[in-house]
Amino acid sequence: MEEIVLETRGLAKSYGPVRALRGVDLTLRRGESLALLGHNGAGKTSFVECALGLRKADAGQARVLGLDPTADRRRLFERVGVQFQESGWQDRIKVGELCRLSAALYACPRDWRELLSRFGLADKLGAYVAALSGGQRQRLAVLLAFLPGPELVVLDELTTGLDPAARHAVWDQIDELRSDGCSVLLVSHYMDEVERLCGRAAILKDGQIIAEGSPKELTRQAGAKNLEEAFLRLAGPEGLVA
Amino acid sequence: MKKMLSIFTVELKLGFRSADMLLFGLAFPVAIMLLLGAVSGPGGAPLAFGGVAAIGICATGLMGLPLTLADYRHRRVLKRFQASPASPGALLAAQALTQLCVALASSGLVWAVARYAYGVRVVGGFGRFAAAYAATLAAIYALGLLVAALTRSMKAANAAASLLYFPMFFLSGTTVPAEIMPPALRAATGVLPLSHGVELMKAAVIGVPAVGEAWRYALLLGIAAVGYTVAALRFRWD
Repeated sequence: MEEIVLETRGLAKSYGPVRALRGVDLTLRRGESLALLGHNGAGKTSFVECALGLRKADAGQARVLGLDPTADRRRLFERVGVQFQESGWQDRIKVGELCRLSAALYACPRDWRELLSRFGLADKLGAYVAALSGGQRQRLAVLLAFLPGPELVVLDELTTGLDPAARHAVWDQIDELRSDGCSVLLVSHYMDEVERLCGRAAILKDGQIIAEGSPKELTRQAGAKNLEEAFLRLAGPEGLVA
Repeated sequence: MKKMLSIFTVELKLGFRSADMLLFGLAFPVAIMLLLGAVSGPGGAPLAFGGVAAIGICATGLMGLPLTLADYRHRRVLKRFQASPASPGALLAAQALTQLCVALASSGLVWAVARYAYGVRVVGGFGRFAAAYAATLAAIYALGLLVAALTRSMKAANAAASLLYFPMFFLSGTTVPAEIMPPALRAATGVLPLSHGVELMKAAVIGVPAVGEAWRYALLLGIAAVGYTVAALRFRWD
């Protein structure tokens, strides 16, 4: 039987009158890559934060790597890497200092100098993080998620702000991580990225999973030509006012 | 402990890269000591030192500590720590230790000015002065952590920190000597925890017992105990 890495049952979260999650059931197995798709405000980031115990859910359960994410936070994050949609840095911190500090938080971190080289940031060791370009900061955020040598990596808008070459370079790093058996939960708006990296995708709309399957299955289910068209058909219009 | 020291090492570097810290934590107290020493003369310099030594505690405890934590929460730096094996205790201890280093550097520089420019001596002994300093620091840092724990935004943290910092800075005897305040105002300053710490430090410098010394220590340590407990219970990553 395949080992379950992440499992949520009936996960619900509201912010005042806004119901961000309405009972989300989702399962991610070891070695699997799952994409979470949805319009802005569909509840993707709320799901990630509630599933990992970073935000208190109003109802439902989550288990990650067999642990209760709220009660076992420190044990859990020895084994889980997270790249947030918006990453925060201390003012006036340098790249090398941030990496050294982050690595020191883990019992057995990966070699951060090697990761800097892999992510094309080796020459930025002494640069202030605030002075990096948006793309470089994004790569740094992904690199930090790799530091624990994770069994599960959660990537929220992985390649937003990256140029095509940098996107492909980051994808290659994700491939390498997956080949080591790492599971991936990817939140993305880029369907080419999802097709490239993920064997399965779930579409979240108004806090509920409305469709789930492989990119091919979703495309077939929607009677679409590709995943992007399938997503637009299944998730419907975003509700932008013209 | 290793995690705490790693955070502390980086935070200390960042602290000394901050113009605010260098200006308000270090240069400002030295300038005030020079000024008050010159105004009050050799007879008044010891009392001035007893007060000015507390400015570093006030600046780091009521501004540096809560505003750094509120800023980190606002910038989502704490969120990043939350998604790591770091404990809140390690994070808070590292921050407090960083601010403590700045406060000690500030007080050390103020002492050097007081000693070598105005010939000040700690008549009551350094041990007694250190005890008063530690009790004051414990209480003021607890208040700073309370501000960080109880405010929900950077703006609110700024307002709360200012509301505590400026009255204590001007009315606790750090700059304006309590001795020259009208009796009613002097009595009113009793509600400011820093005024009790300043009284204890001044008494240690000139070598006399402070009025109600035991009671002042009990008050400061009580504030510290309540403050740290509530701050720990109400700690939020975001």
